[in-house]
Amino acid sequence: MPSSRFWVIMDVSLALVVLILAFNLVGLKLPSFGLALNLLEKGEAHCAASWKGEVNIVKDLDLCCFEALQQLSCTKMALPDANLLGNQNTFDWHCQTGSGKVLQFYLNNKAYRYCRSLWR
Amino acid sequence: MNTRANQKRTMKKKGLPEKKPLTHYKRIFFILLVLVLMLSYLNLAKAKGWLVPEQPEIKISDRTISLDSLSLEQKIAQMLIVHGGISNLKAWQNLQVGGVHFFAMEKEELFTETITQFQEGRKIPFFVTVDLEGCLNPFANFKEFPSAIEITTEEAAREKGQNEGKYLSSLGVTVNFAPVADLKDEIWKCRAFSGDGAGVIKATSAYVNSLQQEGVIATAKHYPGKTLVISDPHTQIVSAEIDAADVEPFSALSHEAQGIMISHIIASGKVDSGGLPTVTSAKVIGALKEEYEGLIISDEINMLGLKKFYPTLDEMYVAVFKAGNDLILNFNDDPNEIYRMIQIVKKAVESEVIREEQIDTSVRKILQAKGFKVQ
Repeated sequence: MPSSRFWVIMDVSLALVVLILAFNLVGLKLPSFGLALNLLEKGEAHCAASWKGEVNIVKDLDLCCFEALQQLSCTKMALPDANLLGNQNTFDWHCQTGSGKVLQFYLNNKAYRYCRSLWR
Repeated sequence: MNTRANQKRTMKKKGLPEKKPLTHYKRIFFILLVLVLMLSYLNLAKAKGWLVPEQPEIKISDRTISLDSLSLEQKIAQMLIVHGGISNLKAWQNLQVGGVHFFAMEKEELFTETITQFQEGRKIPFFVTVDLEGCLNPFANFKEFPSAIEITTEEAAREKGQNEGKYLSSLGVTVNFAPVADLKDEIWKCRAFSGDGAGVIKATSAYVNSLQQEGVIATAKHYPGKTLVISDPHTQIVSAEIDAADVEPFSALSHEAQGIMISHIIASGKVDSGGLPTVTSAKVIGALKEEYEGLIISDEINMLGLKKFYPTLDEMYVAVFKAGNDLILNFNDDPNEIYRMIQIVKKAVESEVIREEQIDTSVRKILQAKGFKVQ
């Protein structure tokens, strides 16, 4: 038989879940997790666009996010690519549609988390 | 008490284990569990948009719609283009939004199936929109098109418009947010047509006409130009000095393109947005409407720069409608937020912050572009 301590722990946990669900239901918005992580993470957010091998940093992050998130997939790169822009920046995510002559996007973790938070 | 004691005795006699009453903690646990289940269901319903109320049926006879038969909510909803995520299909149909925008998908069949599902049973069809422009191609997984920067002749631009128009029509796409009519693309380097001002005008004009001949609405963007110039990363909204040459492609296309998309930049010079983002500048959009009768379409409004420009989201919603945009792009995936936006704008109309005649004019244009007669 579970001890009363077990029931207390279960009750407190469930009460927390009830609270979170209730907050969500009434639309009480806490800063999104992605945005919070983005703020906590040190360093700059970087987004770059690549067309026919030419890579450019896109300084307007919102604009870069807008296009990157419309792509078919954003995949985490096995190894952060530090060489795209001559060791100036590293990128962790690659967003693209197909492999043809279209724009491709590279984002570091901070930029990716920020982008994900925009439309939620 | 006696009954309980009797029960205990009976159970003992029968050899049955004694039934213990629930402890206080257990009781709370079960109450909380029920609450969790109920709230989870309600949250799921909310997320799926099941709590968004369904709008009444629209009366249409002989492809004629009377504006008076539409409620204010229905009119405002017609002015919205949302992200066409399949998970929100029911919500967008219930809300009767004006259009759905599609991002990249894996297969061609997915596009056609999804579009068919969205349009099924619609008395007023959705505008189905995509961004097939410059070097952006949501169909790139299975279909290639040349990039705008690679187009060097008017004939090639015409051919591009025709091929893209035929393809989009075959999928059921009705609006393409193309062409880019900015003179230069310093950011992506491939979205604008190549050449000088005159070259860009010739190419965009040829593209627009051939695309529209295939039954797809073209959208010249991003008015008033200089939207794709390198911006100062420390400012949230880009400012640009607009000169006559920047606006020329838009003026040239004003009798051809059925849509013009308004940029977020703060414009000064030839076009002056008075310190406001162009997309919320009644002055700029009002002046544009004097020479242009087509659809005025806002760029997507969830850019943080635009949001931060206004103290609250509600103020931004009102500003973007009040400025005079006919169609507003809001790709927020939460149907409840879109419904809330409609309510905010509705209140602004009811309190005469936004004139209802302005809403009527926009809805009239939208319905006419969808092929209806409007009374």
